[in-house]
Amino acid sequence: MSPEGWDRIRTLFHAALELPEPDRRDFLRARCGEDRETLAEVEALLAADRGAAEYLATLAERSRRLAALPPPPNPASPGAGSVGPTLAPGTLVSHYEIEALLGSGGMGVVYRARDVRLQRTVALKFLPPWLAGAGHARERFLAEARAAAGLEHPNICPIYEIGKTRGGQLFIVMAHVEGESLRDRIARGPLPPRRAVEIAARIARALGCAHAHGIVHRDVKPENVMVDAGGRVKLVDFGIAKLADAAPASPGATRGTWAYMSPEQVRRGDVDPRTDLWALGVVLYEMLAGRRPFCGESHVELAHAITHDAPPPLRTLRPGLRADLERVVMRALARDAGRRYQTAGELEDALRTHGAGRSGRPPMARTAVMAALLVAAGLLGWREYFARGRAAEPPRAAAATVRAAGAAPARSVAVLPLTDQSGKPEDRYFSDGLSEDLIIALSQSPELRVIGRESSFRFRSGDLDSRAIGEKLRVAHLLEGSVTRMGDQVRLRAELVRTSDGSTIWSKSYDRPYRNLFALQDELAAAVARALQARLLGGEHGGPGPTDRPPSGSLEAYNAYLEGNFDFQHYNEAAFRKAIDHYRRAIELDPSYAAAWAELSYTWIRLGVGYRGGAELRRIYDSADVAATRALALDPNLAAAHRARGAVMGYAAWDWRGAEAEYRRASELAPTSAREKSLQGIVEAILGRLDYALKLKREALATEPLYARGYGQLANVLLGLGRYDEARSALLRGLELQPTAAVFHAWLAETEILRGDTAAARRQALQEPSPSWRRFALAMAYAANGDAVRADSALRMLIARSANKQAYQVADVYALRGDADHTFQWLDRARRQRDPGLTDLLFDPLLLRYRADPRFDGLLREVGLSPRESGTR
Amino acid sequence: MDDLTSLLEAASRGDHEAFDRAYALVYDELRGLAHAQRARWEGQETLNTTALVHEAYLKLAAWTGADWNGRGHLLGMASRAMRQVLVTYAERWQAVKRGGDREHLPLSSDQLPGVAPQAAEETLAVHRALERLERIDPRQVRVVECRFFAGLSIPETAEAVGVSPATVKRDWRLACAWLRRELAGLAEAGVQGPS
Repeated sequence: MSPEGWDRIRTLFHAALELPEPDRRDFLRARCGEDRETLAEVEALLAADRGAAEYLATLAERSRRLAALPPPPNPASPGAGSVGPTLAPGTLVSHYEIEALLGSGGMGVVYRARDVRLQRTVALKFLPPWLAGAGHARERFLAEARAAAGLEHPNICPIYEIGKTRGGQLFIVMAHVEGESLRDRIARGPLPPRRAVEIAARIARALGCAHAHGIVHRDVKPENVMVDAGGRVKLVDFGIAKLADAAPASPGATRGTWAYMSPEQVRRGDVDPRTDLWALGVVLYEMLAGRRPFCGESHVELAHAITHDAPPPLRTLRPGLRADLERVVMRALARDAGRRYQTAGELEDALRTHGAGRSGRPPMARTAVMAALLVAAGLLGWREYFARGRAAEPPRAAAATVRAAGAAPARSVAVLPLTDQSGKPEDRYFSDGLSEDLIIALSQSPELRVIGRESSFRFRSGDLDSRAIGEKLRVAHLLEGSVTRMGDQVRLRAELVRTSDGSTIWSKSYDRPYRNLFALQDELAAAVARALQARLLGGEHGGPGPTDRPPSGSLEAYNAYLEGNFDFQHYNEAAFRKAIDHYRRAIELDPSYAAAWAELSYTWIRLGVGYRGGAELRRIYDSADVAATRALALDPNLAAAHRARGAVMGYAAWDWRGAEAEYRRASELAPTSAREKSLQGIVEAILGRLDYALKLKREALATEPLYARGYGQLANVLLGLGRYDEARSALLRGLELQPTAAVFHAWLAETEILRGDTAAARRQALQEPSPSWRRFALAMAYAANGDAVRADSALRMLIARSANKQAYQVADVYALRGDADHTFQWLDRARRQRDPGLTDLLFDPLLLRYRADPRFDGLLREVGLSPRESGTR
Repeated sequence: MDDLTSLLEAASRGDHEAFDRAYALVYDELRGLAHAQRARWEGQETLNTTALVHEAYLKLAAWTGADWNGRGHLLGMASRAMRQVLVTYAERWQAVKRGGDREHLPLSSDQLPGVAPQAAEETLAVHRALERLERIDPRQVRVVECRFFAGLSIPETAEAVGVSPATVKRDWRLACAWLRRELAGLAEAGVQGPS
C-alpha cells in the first residue's frame, strides 16, 4: 500500500462517515468505480469502525496491566520452555488438592484436582488476577458464572463452584471430563456422518438449555467439546472468562477464536444465541469435511472469508453425503443471520430429521446371556416334597422363560423420559409425568406394543445409542424429546427414532399455552400413533389416560397428582409419605379427582403393609378404605379405583377372593397396562392360582422387560410351581437390573436350597444387603447345609431381632428344619401380627410341605384363603 | 546531561542524530520512572502510563527553558518511549515459551499469568502493525502512540503531534478501525503457539 493509496482510503473513510449509514455504500461505489480494492478496504474499515475505539482501549488497559506484573524469570535459553514453580501436586487450594497441570491457554490455566471433601476429581481453571479484576467486571463475571453453574444438562460439563484462593484469586471448579476433545477426534480425520450429526445434535441440545437460561456460550469450538469414555458429549468452558474480559462499553468485544466467529460478530462484535449456532455450524462442517469452511492465510483474509465467501460445498469434499444433511449445514452457515436456524431447537430438529445417514455399522454385540443352568446334583432327601409334577427343565428353556427371544415387532415403541429442559431437578416430576401419560395414551392402541414405564425410564436420553436401547427393550422405535415449562408456555419437542439405524422418522415441536396442556398431550399422542401407523382408540376402553386428568381441568391438581406419582416410584417409606401429601393436595384442589383418590388409597396400603403395625396400621387401612370407596363412587370405570378397592379388601380385610375380583376388573378396564396385570398376578398367586399368575406375570414383563421387581414376583410364582431353575434365572435377571435390590439374594439363597446347592445358598445369603433378610437367609442356608451349630445360632439371632416383624420368616426356617410344631406356632403369631408374608402361603414351597397338616387348612381359612380355592387352575 | 533543549531544537529541525540522542534521554528517564512506579506500589494492577509520561515530561522539561514551544515534541517523544517500555515488557513475556497443552509456566500460587503471554502478544501485534503503518502514515502512528501507549487525551495528543484536535480525532478513529482489522485472529495466532 502506498501513502497515496492510503490517503485516498482515508479521505473516503472520513467522507463516508459523514453520511448516514444507508447512503455510504452507493457513495463509495460511485467514488471508487473500478477500484475494487479501495472499495473493499474502505468498507472493511467502516465495518470495523464500530466498537473499535473500545476494543483498543481494552488492549491498552491490558498492556498496562501486563507492565505492572513482576517480570517473568529469564528463560534458560531463547525458545526453551521456562520451567518455574507451578502449583505443585499436593498443593491445597481451598478444599481442592492439585493433582496435575492439564494445560494453559489463552484464558487461564487448568489443573486436575481432587475435592477432598466430596472425594471426586474436578478441573480447576484459574483466571488471571487482573482479568477478573476490580468492581464492575468482577461482579458481572460472578453473576454470569453463577448462572452458568446452575445449568444442569447431560451434555453440559457442570460447573460446581467459583472458588477463591487466600490471595483473592478466582478459579472455576468444573467436572473433570476424562476423554478426548472433539479437536483431537477431528485431527484423526472426518467423522462418519451419523456420528457427526449425533454430536452436533447433542451440542445443540446443550446450547438450547443454556440459551433458555439466557446464557450464550460464546466459544463453541471443537476444543470445547469433550467426548468422555462412554461416548457422551459434554460441552465445556462456557466462555465465562470472556465476560471478565469484555470492556463494559462494548459487550461484544470478545476474543473468540476467529475461525468460529459469525459474520456479524466479525463485523460488529454482535453476540447473541445465534452466535453459538453459527459456531456449531462451523464445527459440524469441520466434523464432516475434515477442514474448516473458512480459511485465510492472514487473519484479515479469514475475516474477509467469513463475511464474504461461501464455504466449499460439502459434497465436493465428501461425496456420498446426503443432500439433506448438506443443506442443513449450509443453512446453519448462511451469511444472513435471518436465514439461519433461529434457535438451538430448530437446528436440532433439522439435524434429527435430515441428518441421519444409513451407516454400515454392524449390530452391537448382544450382552452375554445369563449363565446356563447347572444341573442339579446331590439332591437332598427333602426335595421330593417339592416335586409338584415337576419335570427336569432343559437349561435353555429356563432362560427363555425369562428372556423373550425374537425381533422387535414393527409397531412397537418405547417412550423415553422427556428431558426437562428447564434444568431444574425439582421439575422432573412434570416431564416424567408427561412421559408416563404418553405411555398410557399410546398403550390404548391395540395395534401398538408400548414398553412400560419402569423399563423405558431406565434410559434417560443422551446415554445410550438408540440401537442398544432398541435391543434391550425389543422395540423398533423410540420416542424421545424434551419439554420445558416457561411461564405460561409449554415447549415440547418430540422425535420418533427408528432403533435399527437411529434415523428419525418424525419430529415436531410444540409451543403452546400451558393451560392447553391436555389438548397438547392428546395431539402429541395422536401424532405419534399416526406416525407409527397405529390407531389410537382414545378412551374407548375407558382405560387410564384421559381419566388420569382431573374432571375440573385444574392443571394444579394434575401437577400435584404427577408429583405424587413421581414420588411413589421411589417405593420407600419416605416416598410414600410424600406421595400421600401430593395426592391429598390434588384432591383438595379437585375433590372429584377419582384417579388421585385411587392412588392415595393404594399408597396408604403400600405404606401400611410395608412399614406400619398395630393401631396405626388400622387407621391407615381405614383411610385407604375411605379413599377407595370415594374413587369408585366418582368413577366406577376407573381401573385404579378397582385396584385400590381390591388392595383394601385383600390387605386390610383379608378377603382375597373379593380382592381378586376387583383386581381382575382393573385389568379388564386397562387391558394394556402392565402394572394392573402384574398386580393382578400377585393376587392370583396369593390365591394359589399359580399358572394363571404366571401367565399374567409373563404378559406384564413383555412390555416391562427391565422391571426388576417384576422378576422377583415372577420368581416367587415359579418357586411355587416347583420350577426352581427358572426361578433362579428370574432372580438373577432381577439382580442384573438392580444389583442393590434388597431381598433378591435372600430369595436366591432359598432357591439354591431347593435346587440342592447349599454352598451357593450360603454364598447368596452372605450377599444379601438387607440385614434382616440376610439373617433369614443365613438361618436357612446353615440349616440346609446341616451345620447345626451355626443354624441354631442364626435362628436364635433371627428370633431375637425380628420376632415382631418377621414371624413368617421364622416359620419358614422352622419348616425347612422339619419342625412342624414350631412352624405353626410362628405362623399363628404371624397371623396375630398381621404379617403380610402370610399372603405367600399358597406358593411358598417351604410351607407347602405341610399342606396336608390340618393346621394348614385352619390357617388358610383364617387368612381368607379358603382351602377350596387352593391348587393350580 | 547534554543540553536537552538544543537537542530538541535540532531534532525539530530534522536533525536525526539529535533526535536519537534526545530520545535516548527521554527513554532512559521514562524507564526509570516506570520501574520506580512499579516498585513503589506493590500489588497495583496497572502501570499508570499517563502519569509516567507526564512525570517524564516534567522532569525533562525542567532541563529546558521555560516558554519553550518544543513541549509538544517532548510529550511526543515520551509517548514513543512509553511504547518502547511497554513493548520491552511484552517481549520479556513473549520469550517465555507458551502454547501447546503441556507447558509449564512460571507461577506463584497467587499470580497466574497464564494470560500474560496473550496480553504480550497483543501489545507486540499493535507494535508491529504500527511499524507497518509507519511507512504509510507516520502521523497516525504518533497519534496512536499518544492515545494508546501513553493514554494522553485528545488535546494533549494534538499538542504532542502538532495538529488540531479535530485531526487527532479523525486520525484516531481511522487508526482504531485499521488496527482492529490488523489484529483480527490474534487469539487464534496466539493459541497455535509460536511457530
